Amino acid sequence: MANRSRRVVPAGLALVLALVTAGCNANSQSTEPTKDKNTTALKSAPRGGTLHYLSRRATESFETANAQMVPTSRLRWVHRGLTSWRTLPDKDTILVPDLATDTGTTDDGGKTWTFTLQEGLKFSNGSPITAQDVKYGIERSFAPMFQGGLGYHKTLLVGATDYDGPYDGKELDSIEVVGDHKIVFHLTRPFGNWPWIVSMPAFAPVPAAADTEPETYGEHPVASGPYQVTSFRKGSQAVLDRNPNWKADTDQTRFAGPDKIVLDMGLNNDTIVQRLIDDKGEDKTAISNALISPSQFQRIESDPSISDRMANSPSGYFRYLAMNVKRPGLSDVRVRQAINYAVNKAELQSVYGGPKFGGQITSTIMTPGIPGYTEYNLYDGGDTGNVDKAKELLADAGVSGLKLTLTYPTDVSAIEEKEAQSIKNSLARVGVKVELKGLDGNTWSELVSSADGDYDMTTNGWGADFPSGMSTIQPLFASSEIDNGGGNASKFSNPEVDAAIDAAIAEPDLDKAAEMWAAIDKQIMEDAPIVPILVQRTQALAGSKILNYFIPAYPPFANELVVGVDR
Amino acid sequence: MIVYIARRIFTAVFMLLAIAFVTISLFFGASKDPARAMCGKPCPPETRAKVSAYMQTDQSVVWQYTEFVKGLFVGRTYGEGAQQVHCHAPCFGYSFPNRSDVTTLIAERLPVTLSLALGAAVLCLVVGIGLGALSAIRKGGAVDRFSTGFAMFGLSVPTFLVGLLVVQVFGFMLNALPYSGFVSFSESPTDWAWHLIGPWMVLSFILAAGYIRVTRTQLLNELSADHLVAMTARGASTRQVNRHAVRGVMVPVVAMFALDVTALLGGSVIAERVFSLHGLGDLLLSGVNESDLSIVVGVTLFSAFLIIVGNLIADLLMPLLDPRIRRA
Repeated sequence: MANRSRRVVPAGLALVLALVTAGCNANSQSTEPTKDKNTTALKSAPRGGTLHYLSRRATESFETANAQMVPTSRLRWVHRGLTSWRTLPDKDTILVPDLATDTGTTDDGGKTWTFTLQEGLKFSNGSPITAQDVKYGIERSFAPMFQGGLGYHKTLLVGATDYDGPYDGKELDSIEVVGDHKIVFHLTRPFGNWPWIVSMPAFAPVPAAADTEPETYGEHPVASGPYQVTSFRKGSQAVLDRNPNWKADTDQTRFAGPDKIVLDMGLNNDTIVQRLIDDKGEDKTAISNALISPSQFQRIESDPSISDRMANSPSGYFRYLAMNVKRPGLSDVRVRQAINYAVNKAELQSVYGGPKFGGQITSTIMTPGIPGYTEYNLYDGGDTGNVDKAKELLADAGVSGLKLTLTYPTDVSAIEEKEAQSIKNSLARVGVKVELKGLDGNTWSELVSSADGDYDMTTNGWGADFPSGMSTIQPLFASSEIDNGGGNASKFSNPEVDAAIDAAIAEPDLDKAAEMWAAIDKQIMEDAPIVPILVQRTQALAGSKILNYFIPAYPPFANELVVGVDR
Repeated sequence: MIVYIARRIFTAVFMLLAIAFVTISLFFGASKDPARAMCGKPCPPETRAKVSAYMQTDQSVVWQYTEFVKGLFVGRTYGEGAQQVHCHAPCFGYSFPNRSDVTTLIAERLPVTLSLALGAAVLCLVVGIGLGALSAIRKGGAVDRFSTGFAMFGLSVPTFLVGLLVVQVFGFMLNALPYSGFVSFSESPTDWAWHLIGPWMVLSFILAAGYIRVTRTQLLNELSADHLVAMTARGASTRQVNRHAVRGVMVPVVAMFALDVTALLGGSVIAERVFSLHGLGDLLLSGVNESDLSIVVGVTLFSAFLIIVGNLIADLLMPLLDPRIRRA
């Protein structure tokens, strides 16, 4: 998911980032409070009412094997996992047990992980939820017909590369089931974040007996969560009612307030936003996945009855400029440092809509809210850059009349072009001539993810799949991520950094791992392979009778499991 | 006549094969890799290779093309053993993101597109020919001035603007029409029409412009043609004269209508998007966005097929409408 906008537009969901709590703010100058009535979290939601969900996706599905949605999304109205996420407006997101009794144990340094399921849990069809059902659910995600989705487990479980799913009768032996309630995972390498991995969609239980038509299972799945699908019309509407076998006291993350949920799909994005602004009839109890465009902010902002209903993320996606270190013009670290000083981040911030809606200026790789995030700025030229310092560094490097290319995708949004233009202007101030090369999105992503990419610089965005340096630093800076579709657009390769990344990934003590990631963050920035630009905010609008709707620090999406309807 | 039809059908088949080849080549030429879109995250090279092999997108363009053509007649199978998915003939390909064969997807979307296209076609024909004829008969009058302006406006504004205006004004401001959604005809004919009035208005407004102009110009030409002047001179009634004139108008209108209807049947991307209708246009667009080769090729080919068939029908109708063509 190298490119943020690309992912957000078609796939819609997925992932990530962080938060700026009051205390750990990257940029006091650019911060404005984003509190409104919806950012005050309730401890529960009132029971009753009908929640409406307006989806801009052509179709929605409750299939878990290939889903790419965060554990706080609507998919999880129906499905539970081994672990889940608890989000609060003003605190870091924490991992909590879901079907399991704890968040996993390891006694060999993170290579083998054991989870124990709660006793007495039942599916909507009345059958008990067993470790075997969890194993089967994971195995399904390996079937070729379910390509896609969050597949970290597919690269970590022993024997995973040669496994093709359960449909030809084969099992994946590295998922060991002991009795009805114990499940043990055997990994190829120590992996400290495994407890986060098992919160992902593929770890939802599926009873094999109910999986008779895998291709359409996601339309009528057997539910482990508080709701079951009672009617499903593909591309049109799904209706969810309570699952009588779900017990609130076994679930730490779902409030299950509404009695009923109606999910309308395939709606036009702008129409959804307009309906939520109008706030009439059933839309008063509606939430959505529609994206609010910058042109609508002014209207929303000018009317408190609308702006009160808008959730704004305290944090968001990481936006940066990657510099291809393999190119002759950029091989000298002093040149890359000079560019870090030269970029006018304040101008880029206004290109993206300013501090309130666009995002906050940043100088680190990890974003606030990712464990280990530490504020620092190695190249502090102020928000508008330091031209003198940049010129000085270029002179030190003996560089003059430097010409560089900057590539970006042209079809994602017009903003990327303005962003590139702004960078060009910034660098012109220090005598670096930039040639802009806008490319079709596919061509662009092939180019920046191949080894011999013919470009000097590219703009890029990133969102993590779970809150860890593993999901931000590793995909963008490990040398294994150069080429073959990897996200290392700077072609940054440093054996010491690679070794440090491997050690941090393996560390089962996540507090310790966080410190390790913090050190790696700084270590990479000393080499200046990128210019960090912004932490981009996200926004979402809800109807006037919706309660408990807020976007946490991480992920930059509202938690759809805790909203309630005010009757 | 039979030789003519046979020749036309032969050309049509050749055209379709050529279109399929060009679409497949262009798709891969644009460095779209369907396996990348379907690889998930993370996507190490081994996974991508596996996905690509399963979707059969790791093969050459020529291989893709041959398999595609073969699939049209005998169907296609992806994967092996228990992992197989089968796409029955005529197989336009299998869409992995949708876990469905493209023929089924087209069949699912066709009722929406058909409803949209036929309603819009009828409406634009009535409005277009009606206004065109009225303005020709009363040339320079109020109706003529109005419809000329109307046509000018229809020809010059983009569909999305009209669409958004209709949604804003009739949907949100007046609350008079639904702003999105589709109800099938079998479910409720009134709801069906109710939900489609907006998109029909938009499409017929854009399309009617052409018919107004063609009808008006053609009718004026006809009315001043020698044979009709002579008819009038011999005392034929206006009604009789007009009836003759209309025959002359029909030829260009039918040719134009065949093109428009078949284009509409291929999907109206913009109207579908604006009104959240999920027809063929929307399917094609999602295929392009998701790098879904099968949908892109399948829908393109299906639309091309409709256009070719529509034109063939129009050409066959011509001799019936105009004896001069019959004799030629």
